[in-house]
Amino acid sequence: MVVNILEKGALFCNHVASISWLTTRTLYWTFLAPFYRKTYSLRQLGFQMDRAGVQSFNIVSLVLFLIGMILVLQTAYFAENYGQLDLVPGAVAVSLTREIGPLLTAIVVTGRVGAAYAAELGAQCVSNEISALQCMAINPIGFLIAPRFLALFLMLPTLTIYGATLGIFGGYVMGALNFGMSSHVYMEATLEAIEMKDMISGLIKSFVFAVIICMVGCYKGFTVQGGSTGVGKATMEAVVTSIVLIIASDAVFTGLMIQYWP
Amino acid sequence: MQAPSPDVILRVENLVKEYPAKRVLDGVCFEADGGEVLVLMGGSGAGKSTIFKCIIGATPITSGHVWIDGTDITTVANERCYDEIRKKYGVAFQNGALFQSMTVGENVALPLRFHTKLDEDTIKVMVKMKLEQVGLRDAEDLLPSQISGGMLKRAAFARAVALDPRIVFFDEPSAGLDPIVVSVIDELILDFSKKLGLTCVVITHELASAFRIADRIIMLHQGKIIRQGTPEEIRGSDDPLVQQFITGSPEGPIPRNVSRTDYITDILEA
Repeated sequence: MVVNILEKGALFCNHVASISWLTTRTLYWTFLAPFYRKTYSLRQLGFQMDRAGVQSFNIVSLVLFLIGMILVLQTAYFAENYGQLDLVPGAVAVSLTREIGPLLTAIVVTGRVGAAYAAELGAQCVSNEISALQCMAINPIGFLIAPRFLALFLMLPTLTIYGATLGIFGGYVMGALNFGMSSHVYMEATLEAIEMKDMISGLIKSFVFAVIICMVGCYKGFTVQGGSTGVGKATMEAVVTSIVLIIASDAVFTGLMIQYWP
Repeated sequence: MQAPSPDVILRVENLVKEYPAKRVLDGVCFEADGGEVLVLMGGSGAGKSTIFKCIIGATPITSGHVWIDGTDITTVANERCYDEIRKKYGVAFQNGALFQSMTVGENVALPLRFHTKLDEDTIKVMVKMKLEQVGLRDAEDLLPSQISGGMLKRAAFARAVALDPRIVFFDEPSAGLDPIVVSVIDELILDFSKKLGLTCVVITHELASAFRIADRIIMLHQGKIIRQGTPEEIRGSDDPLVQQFITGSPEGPIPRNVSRTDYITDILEA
């Protein structure tokens, strides 16, 4: 029993050390190496930005629009009892900007992009494509992970801003249709409630989430063992681990923000 | 430990590879000269693929030395120095290992784009030349999923020789192909060796192919070299291990890994 726990602890520490090492190497290959070595091309970066960002717009739009509507519905249902309906637009806008927007966008992108990274790199690992890169003296981190990392690092915050805005719009539609709020009042209350720190807080979170999604997906893909079953297992583990880490880091970050930047 | 003479392109010296429960390679020593076709042959689990992985740096070596074109790969300081050695050899993997998202032409162009300062027009010409060498000029714009197994292997050959290396490693080049395609692949390897002067190290267990292309054959069994020599010397060997492998007989010193006694005991105990 004790040995089992120790073994699992050692394995966990090994994963943490490996993923930390991979992250530092990825940062080097993304931001420093391109200045003096050939790594990835702009074409590769554009392709990855399209896949991770542009192609995720539809699903993020749908999810955040509906979440905005649900938030207004739930908050207004409660606030109406106390005659505080005018607080609903602000409360929904702040929660979407600070919390729900970054979190749900990251979870949607984990399912769509993080899973794809793990499966794709895992399949490349199984079919010796990563070994072939090494044999051609091409660094796999620079060639495969760096463009994915930079693409997600740029696109997830963009999607987050877009998603939060669309969520607020969804809330406005629900407020106008169901609770008879005028657009002028709704927009004014929203703009009054949102502060710059809410947006900065949401953006910083989305950068952190982008690092988690990319590094977990790529790490799981690069360490696949056991053929096609291994690829499936790695994909599942990448999604579960990313979501757990996103929520855990969100809890820590929210606590720190409220403590030091109230 | 002495550096090999310039004629020796590959020298493997006392190569040992151990996993926690097993010694997979046990003091393997051999050399390959310039322009030579060296075939590593042996049954499943003999250690052929492990030698291949040790040489290309895919797995760490427990002890021993591997010299590639005058440089000992076991003493290189870092990955960047090792990359310089990697540019001297090409590798054709068993399944081709072509990038599925790139066309055949883009796959061949990849090492040229990374390691040369050639402009795009010159790279395009080079790609056509390399593909012509393997008879695949018409497949330049096709994706790997759109070509046959034999064509995949030939495309992998073209990519392996893109940087004009001095030595090329072929991992099971004729596995899973029909006899006519196997002959075409064998002819290509001979062309690389005799016309271009490349040293070709071929890992295979296809006897007909090995005897057709080899200048020298090394036979492995349980991580050790049991015999090496020309195809004629191997054919004429009276070593029972070699003879069993050549004749393909199930009876002999090489175990069949099937135990009827164990099977019956298992059934009865169940």
